[in-house]
Amino acid sequence: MKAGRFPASLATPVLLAFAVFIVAPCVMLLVKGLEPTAETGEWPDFTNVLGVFDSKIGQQALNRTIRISLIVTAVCMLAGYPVALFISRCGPRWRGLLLAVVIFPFLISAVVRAFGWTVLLGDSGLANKGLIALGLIERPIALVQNEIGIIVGETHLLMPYMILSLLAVLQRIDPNLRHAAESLGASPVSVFWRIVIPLTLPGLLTGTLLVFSLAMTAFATPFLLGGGRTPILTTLLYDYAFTLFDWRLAAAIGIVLLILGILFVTIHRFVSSRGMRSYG
Amino acid sequence: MSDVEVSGVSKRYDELWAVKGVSFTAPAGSFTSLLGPSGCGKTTTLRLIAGFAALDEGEVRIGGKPVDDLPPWRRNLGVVFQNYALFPFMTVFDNVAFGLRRRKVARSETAARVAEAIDLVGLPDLAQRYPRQLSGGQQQRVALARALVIRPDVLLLDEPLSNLDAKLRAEMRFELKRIQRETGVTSIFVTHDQEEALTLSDQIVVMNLGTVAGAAQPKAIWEQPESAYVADFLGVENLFPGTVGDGAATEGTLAVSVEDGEAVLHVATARPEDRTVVLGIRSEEIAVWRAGETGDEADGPNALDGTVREFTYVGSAVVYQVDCPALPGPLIATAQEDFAIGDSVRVHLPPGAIKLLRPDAPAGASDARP
Ligand SMILES: Nc1ncnc2c1ncn2[C@@H]1O[C@H](COP(=O)(O)OP(=O)(O)O)[C@@H](O)[C@H]1O
Ligand SMILES: [Mg+2]
Repeated sequence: MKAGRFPASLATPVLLAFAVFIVAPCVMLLVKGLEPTAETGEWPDFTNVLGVFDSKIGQQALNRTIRISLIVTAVCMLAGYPVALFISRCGPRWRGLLLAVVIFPFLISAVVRAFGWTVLLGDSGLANKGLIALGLIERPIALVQNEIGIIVGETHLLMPYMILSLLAVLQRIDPNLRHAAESLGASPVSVFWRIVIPLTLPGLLTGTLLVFSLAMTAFATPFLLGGGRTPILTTLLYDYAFTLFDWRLAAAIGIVLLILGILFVTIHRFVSSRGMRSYG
Repeated sequence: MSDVEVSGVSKRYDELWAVKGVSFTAPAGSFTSLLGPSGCGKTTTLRLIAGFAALDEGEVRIGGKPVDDLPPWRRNLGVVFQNYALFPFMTVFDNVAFGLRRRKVARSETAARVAEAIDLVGLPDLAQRYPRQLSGGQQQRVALARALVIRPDVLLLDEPLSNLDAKLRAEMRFELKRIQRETGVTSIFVTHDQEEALTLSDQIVVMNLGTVAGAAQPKAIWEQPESAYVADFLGVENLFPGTVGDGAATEGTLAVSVEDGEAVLHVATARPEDRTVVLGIRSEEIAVWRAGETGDEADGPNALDGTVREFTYVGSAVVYQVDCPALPGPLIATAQEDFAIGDSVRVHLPPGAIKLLRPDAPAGASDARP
């Protein structure tokens, strides 16, 4: 479809704002991050960016960021899919209510959410008490102020993105496709794997893109639930910028995050275009 | 090949009985049409036979065996949906092969049978295309091939032709007939188009408000519809309630007075059980002359005066709407001759062409719906 002149002119202000507020920060980030460390050095100087990969803390933060983002994405996908499937099969009344429940985390501030999790996951919190009562553990285990806390918090925060992306495609599936498969001899399990999953692939891909990129760039939740000993790239960046006031190092981490983002989107687009070739 | 017996089948959605007490038998190898207006429960009936929905009352038997406990994937039925429901992410080949793969048919045999099915439905070599790359008519054929390749006991078709344009629809009608004859599969075909039902079927089941209004062979249902509703749906344009008078009007005819009109028409038919009837006559059976025409018929008992109110040109003839003072409503009549709006005419309703029909008991019909 060719966009008419009228919508194009309407979109111009926003597109211009986007250009300014996306391109400008990126340029500034690159300028600062690639600034020469020595007086005599020349721009661009990759010492700082490479330093992120070289330093122990930088490397740990990088690995942790990727690990947490992957785990959060996987959990959102595996746990969110059945929820989305269930909601899509509910009647309109229940669907509305359940959707409200799903979107609820968006309505609470990150601080309140983090506080809630700290209480629930603390040494004397519900989670530890429950695990002890079930006899799975003897003494309370650390569930916050570490990676587990970050994973739980981010999963809670990002699950709605996955569920909503999946619901958008699930709702549009023609029930006759399932019936057609059934009449051809496919059991419900077979219908799920061979018909429903492929039909929801676009939603899965959208959800993955959203959840992974948001998990990678999340700050407040990992900051509040991760504690000081489990830095990820964003919290490390914050430390450099506002504790050590080393803007050059902070910008270098920013560049690493940018590279990660571009890398992920590129891989994602490649997978999507291969997987979706037949969808039209 | 199996016969299908539907006995007293009902399905309720909340307050509404989508179908109520539907019974009919589709003999093995036959082509049965379910005919009725939109919303009368045709699709629901088909879904109950296929097992996509659970029935609330009654029983469905396929090949003599009750299937109510069998899920759809164990019933071995082929279903063609109104919107074709092809799997969009699979090629034509994979769509057609789907049922064979679920049955664990060997690879080489699958390929052979898919090719055979694609050939049967007259598809050109499009096996590696995706559904969206096909025209409506081609998608239709893929849907048929996919349903037939599993060699189903019964083929269920839900308005398969309604999404095609007129020319293609006429062509596919012949194709369906050929394919059904070649495969000999018992077919149940849902349609709201009387012409489709008449041309394709061995048996027509007319449905109304979730119930069966009549079932017969096309010729029988055309010549003597069971009720005014069936006649109306099969294109009998002129229907007037009336009352059968005592005794014979002339040798072999009954005198029937039209309700809310002065006309007393002679009808050459056997005396119906009930005096309250509906008179029905098709437009093409009515003769129309210019006013002042004389002759045995023009002066006979079933000739009426009228004025042309409106006409439509249909190619082979002109259909007129004629106001007759002796009748409660306008008469629809076909004529070769040209008349203008406002012309005085004389119409003749041959006694042998008028059918006496059972009025539809409004109570019986509304039983099905709240
Ligand atoms: N899943 C459903 N839920 C609620 N009502 C339904 C459902 N399916 C059909 N109906 C109702 O049942 C009646 C018969 O529908 P249907 O069998 O689709 O008619 P047809 O195919 O003859 O047009 C309609 O009034 C329709 O609204
Ligand atoms: Mg229908």
